[in-house]
Amino acid sequence: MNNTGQKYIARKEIIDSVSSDILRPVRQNRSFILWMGFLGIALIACLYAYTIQLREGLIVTGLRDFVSWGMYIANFVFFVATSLIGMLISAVLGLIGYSWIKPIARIAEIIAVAFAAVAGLVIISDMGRPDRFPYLFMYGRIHSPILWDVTVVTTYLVLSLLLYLLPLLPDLAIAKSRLKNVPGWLIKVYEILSFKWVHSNEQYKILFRSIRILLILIIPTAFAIHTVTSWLFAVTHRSGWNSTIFGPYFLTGAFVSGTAAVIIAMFFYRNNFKLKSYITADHFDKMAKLLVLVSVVYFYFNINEFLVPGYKLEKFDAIHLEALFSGHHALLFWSTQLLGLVIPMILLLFRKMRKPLPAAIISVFVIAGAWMKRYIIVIPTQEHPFLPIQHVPGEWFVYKPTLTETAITLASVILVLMIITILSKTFPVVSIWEVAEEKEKVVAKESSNQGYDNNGEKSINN
Amino acid sequence: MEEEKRKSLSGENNEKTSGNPRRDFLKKFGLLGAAAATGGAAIYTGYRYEHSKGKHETVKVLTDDNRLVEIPADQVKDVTSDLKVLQTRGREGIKSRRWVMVIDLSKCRNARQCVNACQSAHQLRPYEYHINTLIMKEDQGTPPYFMPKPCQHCDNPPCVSVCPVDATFKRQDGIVLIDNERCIGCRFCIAACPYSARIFHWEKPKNAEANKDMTYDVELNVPQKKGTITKCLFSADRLREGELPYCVSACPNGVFYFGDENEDAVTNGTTKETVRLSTLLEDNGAYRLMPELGTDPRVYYLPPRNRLFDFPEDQQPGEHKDFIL
Amino acid sequence: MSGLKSTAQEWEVSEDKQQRLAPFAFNDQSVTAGEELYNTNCISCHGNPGQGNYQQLDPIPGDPATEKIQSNSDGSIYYKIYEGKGLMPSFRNILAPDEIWEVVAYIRSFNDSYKQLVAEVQKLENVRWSEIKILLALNRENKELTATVKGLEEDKWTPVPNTGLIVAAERYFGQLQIDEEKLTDEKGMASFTYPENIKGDTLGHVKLQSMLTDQDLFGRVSTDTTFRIGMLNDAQPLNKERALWNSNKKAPLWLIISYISVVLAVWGFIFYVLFQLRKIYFAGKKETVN
Repeated sequence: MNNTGQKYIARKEIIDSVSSDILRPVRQNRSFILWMGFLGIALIACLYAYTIQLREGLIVTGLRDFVSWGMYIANFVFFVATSLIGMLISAVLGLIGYSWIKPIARIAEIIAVAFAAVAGLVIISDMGRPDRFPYLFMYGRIHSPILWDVTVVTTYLVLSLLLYLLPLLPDLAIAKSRLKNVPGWLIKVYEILSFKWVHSNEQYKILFRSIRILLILIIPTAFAIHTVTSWLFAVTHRSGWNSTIFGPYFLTGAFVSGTAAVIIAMFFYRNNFKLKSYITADHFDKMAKLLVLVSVVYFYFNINEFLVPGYKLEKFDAIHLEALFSGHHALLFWSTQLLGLVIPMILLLFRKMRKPLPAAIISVFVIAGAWMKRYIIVIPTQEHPFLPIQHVPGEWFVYKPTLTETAITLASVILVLMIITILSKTFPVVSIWEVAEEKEKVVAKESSNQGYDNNGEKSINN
Repeated sequence: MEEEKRKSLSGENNEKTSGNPRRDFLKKFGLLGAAAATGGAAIYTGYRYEHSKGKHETVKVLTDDNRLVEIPADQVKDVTSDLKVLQTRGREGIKSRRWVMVIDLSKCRNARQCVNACQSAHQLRPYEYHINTLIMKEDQGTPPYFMPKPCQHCDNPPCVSVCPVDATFKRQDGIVLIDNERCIGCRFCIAACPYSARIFHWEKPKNAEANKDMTYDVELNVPQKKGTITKCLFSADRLREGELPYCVSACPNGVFYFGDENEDAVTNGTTKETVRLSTLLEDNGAYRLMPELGTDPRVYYLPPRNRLFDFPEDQQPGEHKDFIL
Repeated sequence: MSGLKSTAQEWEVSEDKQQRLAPFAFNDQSVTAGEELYNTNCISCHGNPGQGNYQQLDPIPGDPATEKIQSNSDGSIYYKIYEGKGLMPSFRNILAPDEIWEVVAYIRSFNDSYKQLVAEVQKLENVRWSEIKILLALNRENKELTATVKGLEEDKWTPVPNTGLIVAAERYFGQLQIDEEKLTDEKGMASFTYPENIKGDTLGHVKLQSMLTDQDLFGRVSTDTTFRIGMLNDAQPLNKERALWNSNKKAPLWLIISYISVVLAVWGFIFYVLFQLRKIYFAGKKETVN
């Protein structure tokens, strides 16, 4: 940490140049309004589907007694998974001391906040009696992994929000004096949310301490949120879910989808927000390497998850694995595993593939694969319970999502996009003060290499 | 002389030919208290009417400490109509009982009378099952048989463990019940149950309109509610009245036995013959479903040996996995 | 299996049981009563008499209107309903003797050539005793229950010899017979051995019913007696222990402690951070004023 008496803020010139770049896209321009209008109309259409479900019951979904968890739950798991990236980038890499993450840490936090916030709504869309949601707090049974999930998702959302807000304080203070062409109410919002930030040393000291606490706190919370989500499945007796490695299996899978999501977001901001000099090709290279690393670990857990029961072939494990490997889920299973995990993992080993465009395209495959993977984890297991399914209508055997169900799922994706859009068009997506600080450090380093004494004004890596 | 001697030997011989059953009952069970002081109603947890041959009509009443006693019908006040009472007694269960069911697979010929009786009592659609009769074939080369499958009412119920709102719970008498006034419809219990015993009301339940104003009885789970779980309840409402469960008494083939483990006795639903539970289980090599899961079910099965009929040709199942998908 | 089934075909009924006759003449009333009983108890396997819509079981239950069943004597039909065999359940605990005879009456109503022979009715008044009572006594040493059956014969209680008697313990859904059916000796006494491990109520009480089996002759004669011969029912409620499946109040301690402490710790830090935000605000305010 810094010594007292040192200033934490970079030189004004540097801040000026950085902030003019980063604040440029922060405005409610036409394309923003058009895009939000499009999302809004799509959302209303999808919410209409939800009113049908409210009126008719879950009969409008493809769910029935034997496959009673479907797309909603798979989507929920995917959302929770993707939100974990906030923890990996900011906390794990940040605490280790990698400073290259500074320009992209906030992007990861935006994704974390958006996905975690909507995950809770996704779970409500799956409930038979959403009107009784308050019962979870009135009559909550602390034995139930669902209650643990509610607890940790809420906690994680609050932590992510704080981790988004706190590093934003100096930026808000910088932005409110520099932003032009924005409505007055927005300046007011900046004013309130900046908590009277004046870049004083005392404020920086408190800020660094608070962020550090949050960074440490969010690691176990993030582990808990996805481990508990995996326990929704692992605590049952069902073949395919009844696994002791489900916690780490889910956790590593989460890092895969989250890293891919951040790469896609980076690509978008880099091009559309014209932030090429902040989100550099080097960032893509590093993030793609990270994606390889987490994919390798996830691949390793996949081998464990399938090889061990496949070696023994116990009765119901055998039925389950057969459905995945050569049965009617085979196409989905193999394309997910190959196109969404193995091939991207191999491709990204090549430097050329880690350039922005190829990395972003590969990431799209990875994230689509990650969604399908959740589907494969949730649905096939339920199709073969221990006792035979008999005397029920034929269409109850096999789960097929309906249009209504898909629309409601789509609504959650739209909501995520809306949150991301609003956050990134209202607040700077790259941390101005931290980037400026890094720049200043580079300048200072250069000058010290030239033999100058640079004791006076400078910032120091915290 | 001899008679007197025997009487004194026995000591506790309290022959029940007394002319005042009410006083007798009160003296015997110390229930006098407030009820007698006001001359009013005995609070009861269950009753069954029985026409006695004598002058006054009496009812059999299950006292709070769970004895079946007889009192004059006019001493009874009905307190079962309001939701709060139904919910409270439904969650408490019946004291010092441990219900147990025995299913004799050698007698089941898939008449499905149990299924019909159950569906009509609990107002279920034809494809909604609290009890279902399955065509079982464990493995290649092992014979097929019919297996009625109610909820197993496990003593270590995985479904109850995972419930987030205490909507499904285990009572002191062993019954796992569902409170559809509480259920939020998350369906975690369906995922957790290894016996596929639970079903969900995906749409408006049968008779939803007709039952709109009916008071909900948690022990019957009627009226059923959209968006909640339902399942076998061991006919908790019938047990309270001293009657066998709907499925048990509907079976034409003597497949079901039902009783109280604490009394070591089960009664056959068809023949009404009462036998010792321990002897029945021992003599027939009884087993429970999937004991390896440690769920500790309250339903025992007697193996399908010496079956009295052939398995119908047209119902021969393939291997297990063939007919699940 | 096939061996078992072939024996099920031949259903021997002893001579004296075949000869047994109904104690009343069959009439429209008994046929109607019998039809009702038939529809509740028999129809699911035997179908409607005369329509041949019985279940296809092995052995086939048969249509009661056909020769196969009608060729039985009244006593044989009565006995087969009473005893049951194989898939045919015993109705001894379900139907009273008169009710079984009513079912026989209904079955016979499908046989035009049937002529009923009515038994010489022996009602209680024709018997020596005008009133019968049973006394049950306990002999703990021999684990025996001794029943004494006496009848009132012209102001005098005399033993009722040579009559069948059963003793059963009351259970929640029925009577659990103890020992076998016994005949009274010339003193009107019969002894029953009761099992040591019979379950009683919370005090060990067992309510016993002693009953004469010859209901045709005596009607229903029974006495209830309660003895403290059972094992105490000291079973605990099944939801007493702390367990993962129990309610919040009975949650495992480790779970309560870990859940609450983890939540408190994490949220404690969160509130600390929120408090720090407040400090940032006031620090900023101070600076601006300065």
